[in-house]
Amino acid sequence: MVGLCQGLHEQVLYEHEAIRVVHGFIRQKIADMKLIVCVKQVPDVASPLRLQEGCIDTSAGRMVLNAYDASATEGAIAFTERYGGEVHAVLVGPPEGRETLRKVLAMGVASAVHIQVKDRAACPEAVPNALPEAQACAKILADHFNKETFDVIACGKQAQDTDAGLTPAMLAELLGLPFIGNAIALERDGNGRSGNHLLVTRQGDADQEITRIETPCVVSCSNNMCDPRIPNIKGIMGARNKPIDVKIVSRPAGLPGVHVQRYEAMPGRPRVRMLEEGWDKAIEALVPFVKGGPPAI
Amino acid sequence: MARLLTFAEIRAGRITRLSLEALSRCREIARQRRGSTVAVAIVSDNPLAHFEELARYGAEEVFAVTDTVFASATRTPRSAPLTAALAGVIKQAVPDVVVLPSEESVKEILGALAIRVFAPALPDVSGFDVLDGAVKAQRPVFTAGFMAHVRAEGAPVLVSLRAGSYAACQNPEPSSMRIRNVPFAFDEKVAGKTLRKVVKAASGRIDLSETSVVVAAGRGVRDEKGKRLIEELAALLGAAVGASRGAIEAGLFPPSSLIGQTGKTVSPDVYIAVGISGALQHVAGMSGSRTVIAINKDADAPVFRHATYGIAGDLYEVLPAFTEALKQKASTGD
Repeated sequence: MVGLCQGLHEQVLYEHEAIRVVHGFIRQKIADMKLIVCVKQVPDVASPLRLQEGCIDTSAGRMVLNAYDASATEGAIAFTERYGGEVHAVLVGPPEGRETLRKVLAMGVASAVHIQVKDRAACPEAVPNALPEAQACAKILADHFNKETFDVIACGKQAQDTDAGLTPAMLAELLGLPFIGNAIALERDGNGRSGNHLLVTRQGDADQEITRIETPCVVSCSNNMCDPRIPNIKGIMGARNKPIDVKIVSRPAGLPGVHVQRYEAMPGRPRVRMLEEGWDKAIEALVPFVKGGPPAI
Repeated sequence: MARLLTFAEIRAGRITRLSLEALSRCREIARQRRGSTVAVAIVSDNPLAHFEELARYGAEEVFAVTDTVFASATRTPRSAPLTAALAGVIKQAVPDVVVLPSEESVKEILGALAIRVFAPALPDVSGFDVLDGAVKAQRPVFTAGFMAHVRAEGAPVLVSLRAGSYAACQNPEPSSMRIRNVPFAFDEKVAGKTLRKVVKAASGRIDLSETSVVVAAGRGVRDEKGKRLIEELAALLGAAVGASRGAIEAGLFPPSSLIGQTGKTVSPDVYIAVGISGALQHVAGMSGSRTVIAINKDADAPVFRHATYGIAGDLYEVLPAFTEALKQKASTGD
């Protein structure tokens, strides 16, 4: 059987044998999927961030795992707890990003790859002036995944700092894989442990769409998918022994450019006017919108 | 001089208001930049039905992609064919700038489209201007904590626009439009996806991005009675009902009504926040509203920092009286 399968294209499925063949080797039962989450380290948006000459000073704040990526990680781990399989993580970012990888390892991710960009000043993740260079990130990730085997890439739907939400769809496009964005539920399609499709529920503008998607695929996750677990002591201790591979890559060149010229404070509102019983000002503001004009008394 | 292309998204058989806002903004830019043109991409099983409305909003040229894959009852999710259709239009129209409404359908494909047409993308902007060979825009970032002033160079530059950033204005006279049919062929098998089921939001609900007034409920709305009070005020105003995450988790409002960082971004004329504390993530979705009225029993709630008018009181007592007072005032007309 093994001999017969060698040389076949990767991820050929022998459903009747319930055996999956990857690069000619029997890897594991068909049941188990390999999920990889892409995570980003971002400044904590709730921490004191200040503007300094048009830049955002993040030195006073702490860096955290992007909340949407935390949901993607939780969603992936919960998926494997239900159906079997394993979750790995990838982070593009400076050496300090290791802390964030430790966090996802403590949550239950098996191993991690830390991709660092050679020239740190040119790291596409650097806040603030090279933001939001989603294309560079997507390219770095696509180069990485082109050499990997996986069933599902799960990303957060956007990062809390750039709030752009471009990278997941860009990555899928570069890899030529099907993609679903803004997922709120991940399930395995078919009877329990067989089949290589996912059922993904996506929140659209009005409706929820439940879609069957082939693997390998890319999914971006909403934080409405789940509440990320807080790592326990056992998880934190265990994370110390889990491998983090560091890869150094060059910054991709020749990509369309987006430049942040400066940051400003959000246009503020005048101080609130607290209204007393009667609420005249608020009522006046609303009267023009009352439906059908003055009704007959 | 610039060639501007917008995308008219259709939902529930109608062009969305946000698409018309994007089109109106493009017309405004075209008026300021001599020799500019405004074209609209429309993707539907029956684009013809919408031409009249596009003419009223001043479209000069329409690029129509017609295919049954875009009919409402189809087994193919819209994202892959929509990406292919828009890439086809961009190839034919050769625009300098493409302005898309920042709806969920667009958010899902903007990244893929940028790769496919090799263009820089400025997502979810609250304002933009066209320069020679570049676009300047403002983007709320850091959960709407800061405004980033960004600039992208390329042909085209892709921009997606937030709801309520500009007004949708009809032309006094409908424009005469040139219609271009864009060839389109899509192999459903290559999409790798099949739509199994669509869970429809309750019918008859007013779309959040389509109205001038939004009444939004927070965790303070605890039960059906509170929900009814919200709906009564909304009905009086013809307003859409929104909700914070807390109110949705309580099961009182559908997930499609979520306003905030992960839900919808709205910028209505008046936003009424009822029983909403004002968490960062919620405020990010409504901070562009012109007038904000906040009702909360905690006079120190953060929501009051983002409000024009504040009412400190229990919503169960305030709302009935407030709705009644508004009815009275509107009927006497003084």
